[in-house]
This record gives sequence, C-alpha cells and structure tokens, in this order.
Amino acid sequence: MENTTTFYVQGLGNISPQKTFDNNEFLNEISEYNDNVLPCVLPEFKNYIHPVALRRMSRLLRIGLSAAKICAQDAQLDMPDAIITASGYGAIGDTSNFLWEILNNGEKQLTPTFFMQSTYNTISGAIAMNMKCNNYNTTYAHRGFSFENALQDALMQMTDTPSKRILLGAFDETNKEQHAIKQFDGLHKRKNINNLTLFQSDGQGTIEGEGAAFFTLGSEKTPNAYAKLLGVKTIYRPEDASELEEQINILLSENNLEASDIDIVINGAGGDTALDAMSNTALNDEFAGKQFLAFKHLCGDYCTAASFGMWLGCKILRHQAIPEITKMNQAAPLSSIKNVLVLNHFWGKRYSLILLQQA
Amino acid sequence: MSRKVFITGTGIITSIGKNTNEHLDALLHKHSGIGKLELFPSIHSETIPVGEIKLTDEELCSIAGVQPNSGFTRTALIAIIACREALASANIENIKEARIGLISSTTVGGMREFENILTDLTDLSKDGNFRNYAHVTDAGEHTERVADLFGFKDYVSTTSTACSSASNAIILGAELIKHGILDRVVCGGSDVLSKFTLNGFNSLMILDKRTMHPFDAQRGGVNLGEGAAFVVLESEEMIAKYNKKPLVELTGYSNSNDAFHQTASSPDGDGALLSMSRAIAMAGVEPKAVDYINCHGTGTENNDLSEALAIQKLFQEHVPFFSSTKPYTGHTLAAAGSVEAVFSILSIHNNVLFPNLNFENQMPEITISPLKELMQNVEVKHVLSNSFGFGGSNTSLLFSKV
Repeated sequence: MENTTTFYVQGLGNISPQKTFDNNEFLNEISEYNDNVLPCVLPEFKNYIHPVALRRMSRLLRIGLSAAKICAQDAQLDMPDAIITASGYGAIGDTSNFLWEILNNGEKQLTPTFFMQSTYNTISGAIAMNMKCNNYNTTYAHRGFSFENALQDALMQMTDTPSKRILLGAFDETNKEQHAIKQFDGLHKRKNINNLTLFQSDGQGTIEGEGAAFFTLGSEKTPNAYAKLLGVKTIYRPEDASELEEQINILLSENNLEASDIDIVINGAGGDTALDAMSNTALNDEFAGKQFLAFKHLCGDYCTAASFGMWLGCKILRHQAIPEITKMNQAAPLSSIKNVLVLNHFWGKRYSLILLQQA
Repeated sequence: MSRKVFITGTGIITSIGKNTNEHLDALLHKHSGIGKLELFPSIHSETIPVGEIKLTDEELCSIAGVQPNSGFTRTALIAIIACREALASANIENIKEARIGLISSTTVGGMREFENILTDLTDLSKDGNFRNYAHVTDAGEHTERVADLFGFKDYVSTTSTACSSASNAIILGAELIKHGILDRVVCGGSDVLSKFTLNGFNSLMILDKRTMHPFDAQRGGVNLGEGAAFVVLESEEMIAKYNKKPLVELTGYSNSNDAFHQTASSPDGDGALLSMSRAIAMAGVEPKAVDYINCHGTGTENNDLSEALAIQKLFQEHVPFFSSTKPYTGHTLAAAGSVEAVFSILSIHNNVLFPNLNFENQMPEITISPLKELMQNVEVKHVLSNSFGFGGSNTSLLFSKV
C-alpha cells in the first residue's frame, strides 16, 4: 500500500514486565525475573481508573485500560475516531477462571463476571465506555498477526480520512495453563533462566511474557510525536529467508528506502535458535553491520509482543538514544537515528515488519 | 475511495443445512434447527434448547476431508466445509491466481475440545492424541487450519468482537480490497456449541428455555446455535477479468460502539442507530430505500427493545420489513454476521423475505412489528444486516442488488 499521507505516533502507553508506563523514563531501571514468566510492572491503577469501576475489573482489563489512558493522555486525545485493539489470547485469565468453575463445579454456581469479561473485545469496549466514544471499535485476534492487523486497519482508515486520530493497542497476559502447554511442546523453556540471559541460554524455547502497549496514531505532527509509522506487513509461513528478504525490500521500496537507509533493526527473536533462524538469516543478509536490537529478554514472548518492539522503536527515535540492554551487537555509533525496522516472528511461522521513521 | 466490492460466493453450515441451498430450502419452509442438545453431555441438555448441527465430529471430518483426531476442532471443521463451498460457489479453483485473503472470526475457537482436555493438557507427564488439540483456545487457530488446507497465504486475519465478529471480518475484507491490498477475500466466522458458551449465557440468564421469540412482548432470551459461514468478496477488476456475475454488491458498512455497558445495549439504541445510519449513508441511499433488515434480534429483553427503538428512530414512517432469523439457526455468535449475510444475499437473489418465527405478541414500547409470514416475489434491492455484541459492539452491513 502506498501512502500519500504521513502518519505519526502521537502518544504511547506501555505496561510491560519492565517499568515502561512512565513516558518520562526510558528503560532506566531493568527488572529481572528467574522463573520464565514475566509479569507486568504495574502502575497505580487508580490514577487512571475510578476506584469503583476498578473493583470489578480483571487484572488484564486494569492493565489494558490503564495503558490506553496513559496513551490518550500522552497524546492529549479526548475522543478517538477509532479504537482498535489486538490480542492473541484475549482475556485468557477470565476465560480460564470461568472454565475451571464449569469443570470443578459441574456447570453450577458460576461467576457471570468471568464470562462477561472473557471476550476479546472487553478492553476495546471498556475504553469506549470510559471515553464515551461511539466510534469505530474492533479487535483483532490472530495470534502473532493481531497487532499488525490492527495497524493495517488503522493505516487504511487514516489514508481515507487523514483527520482521524486512532487509539490502537495490543495486550496479552501470562497464563499458567498456556505456559504449561507450551512447556510440554518445547515452545517455552522448562528449565528456569534469568530473563536477561535469554540469548545466552540453551537456544531451546522461549520465556513467557505479557504486556499492553497502546499507540495514538494520526496524520498531524504533534509537538509530542514520537515517530512516523511508514508501513506494516505480515508474512504468513514464508518458505525461506529469501522470501522474507523480498518482503522487506518491497516494504522499503514502497517507502522509497533502501536497506542501507535503515539505522536500527529491532529483532523479535525469542531465543529459540531454530525458530529464530529464518528471520536472523534474513536480517543478516539485508542489514549486515547495522545496529541490531532485541527486546524479548525484557518483555518475554507473547502473541502481540511486536507492540513492545514498536514501542521501543518509537522511544529510540524520540530520544535518539539506544538503551544498552537492548543491543545485540556493537555497530558503529550513529550520529542520528532516522529509520527503524521491526521484524517480529511468532513461533517461526508468522512474520511481520513495522517500519518507523524519525518524526 | 472509488472501488466497489462485490460478493461472488457463499458457503454456510448451521443446524438447518450443510450448504447454501439447504439453507434457502429451510428458510422457505420455516424449518427451525432449534432442539435438544445431543452431541455433548451437559446438565442443561434437557432444559436449554440449542441449534445444533446434527453431525458428529467424525462425520464432519469426513465431509471436510480430513483425518479424525488429527487436531481439527469442530470450529475448524465447519469453517473448512463453509469455506470450500464459498470458494466453489465463487468459481475459484486456483487460489493462487489472485491476491487472496482469509479473514475469519470466532468467539471461543476450539473451546469445545479444550474444555475436555484442559486437565490432561496441563499435566506435563501426560501425552497422547489429545495433544493435537493443545493450541486451540486462541481465535486465530481455526483460521490458520482453514488457510493451510486451502493454501491461503497473502493475508490471514481473525476478528473477535463477540457477536459482531464476522461482520467486522467482512468490513476488513472490503477495506483491503478498496485499498488495493487484496483482489479477493473470503470473510466470515465459525463458532460451535460448548459448555463454556452455554454456561456463560446461562449464567447471564438470557437463554430462552423455549424456542426463542425475538421482538415478542413475551420474549425470554436467546437460543444458542452453531455454524460457520463465509462470503467471497471480490474487486471490480476481478469481476471484469473473470467475467463474473456477482451475487450482490456490498454497498455500505459501519461499525460503532454503544459505549454503555459490557454486555447490555444502551436502552435507546444509540450505537445501533449510528451503525445503521452510517452504513446506509455510505451506500449513498436514503434510509427509505432499504427493503428489509435482517436484525440482530437475539430475543433478549434488552437487545430487541434497543434495536427496535433504533429502527423506529432511524426509519420513522418508512420502517422496512424486518425480522430476526435467529429462531431458525439459533445465535451462532461470531458467525452470526456471516450467516445472516448469506441470508441477506439469499433474500436479494431470490426476491424473498424471511419471516420472524414465533412472533405473537406486540411489544408495548414500540409501534412496529417484525415480518410474520414469508414474502415471495418481492423486489429486494437493499438489505441491511445488523450484528451487535458484547463490548458495546454494533456493526451494520448493507447488501445491494447488482
């Protein structure tokens, strides 16, 4: 898709296993975990949600709604023209709670609230209610493409109506049952590691994370704008690295860029050597010598982890600084950081590209 | 935006049929699929009627052409059956001949299987065939099963906005065509009966113990159903290139939010009014041009009043014929939007309006009432289809005669 309008990331709201909810900071303090499950560092919810409403909300709903509010405040957005959310597993906590009640209580004495809050669009609905927003409201729930599908939707809407400002976010939460299932399959590590050693560990499986990252998108270059969002692309089941490289080149050329124009590559590697292989090969082929960053040792892996990668790219472009903890190599220092490419993959089958530029 | 989006194929399976023709036949003969739950044990099977597809998983595997116990959930199986029909009905033999996407939707994906094996799955010492169903809880899983079987690769996506999900899948598909990203998109949804949804809706006390009575003063809630349906969206260029005769044009759509309550509609139907009026405005026609509304019509106290008030307010003295077809199939949740899109297309294509079964008593709060008898040989140019869901989600689609 060729864009004639420029789209900006005007605000951020990120609640993750690192202290990212405060937009004035940028990975100043790093949290370490030693049991392969990375929970969010939480803000004071009552700063964002009325205490009465807060009491009835699930943990994920609190996290998601707070991240959305932080983002809207950051962008001074009172009334979004669209609210678009993304989640691989949705409200998996409430879903599990309701399911265990059914199984343990023989379909009796169930808690309706668990069911009511179990839908994937619970958070997008709650944001609409909170902001009294009757506009477009949808939720994408396609594994490692959920967030990218949401971005695609937003880009199309803003192309048609450049005045639109869109509140877009992704969220997924850790879940004990899903973690166990993925440990059995080898997708998640069984042997505990320290999260910061993810890329130095045995190369088998990844660690589980969670997070809610929201973005305010619009075509105006607001004083607060973090980055330009140039484009997004999903690649389903690529045959090999050359197919990925071809898609990278298509995205770059759609934006009149070449591989050499990319300053920073944010690699959504999860630490599993086999699953990371294709994207690592493609990135090394395309961007040899460039500064490579990683982020899943900070937030863990989950369906919508690309949203953490995009957050990282936006913050780097705004601050013109790269946190040491994210560096995978030591490339030549950059005088300025202009173009950032995020390449994420989920379980080695769903790949996505997000292209960002200095605002 | 100048590009038009046409619908060239349909595929559907619910409790009233395994394909589009069987559905037309059932609708014309007022045959309802609502009855006793038989295919899985539940303490509610004697008391809560449902719209169940009377085919076992093994029978569905055979129809779908896949091996039993190999990881295909019931949700994926019926999606495969409906998708295959949709592709055939649109005369698409070679999926690679154009840029094609698959956008499905579901509320609970493979919950039907998952709820039976959860305890075993979380026991790391247990292994067996059940592990083929380990990763079925997420909404996207069934979409990928369908995509991989038919070879969809250019774009796969899944929407999940509760009971408006498939309608939102259709909107995304239309937008991807209009923006020149895809040439064709197969859009729809799939949901099957599960203990999870049956008990969920029961815990909210919105399940009718009888066959549902939408828009009736004595309505007592919804009947759950199961089903999958897909429609094939194509660009103008595809229609010209392959010399196709479209079934209908998708002329309008809109998504809005009630911003009122997580599971209830606003009493005056604000969100419904917005979605309907914006969909009609997008098509560039007057509200009075709408010949028929296939309503969301869940038969709950709250939805039907809210939806009817919104219809009254929008159409005023030109209220079109309207009905809920959910008493035929039950509420197929995420799939409802595509199931009812197929019914809307059937209505336009066959010059027929399907009645609202079980309507007897006028609702005192409103002055309008749903269509009671089948109408045949009527010119149907524009059909509006509503799908509303938890989270305040309201989506309306407008289908028009070509």
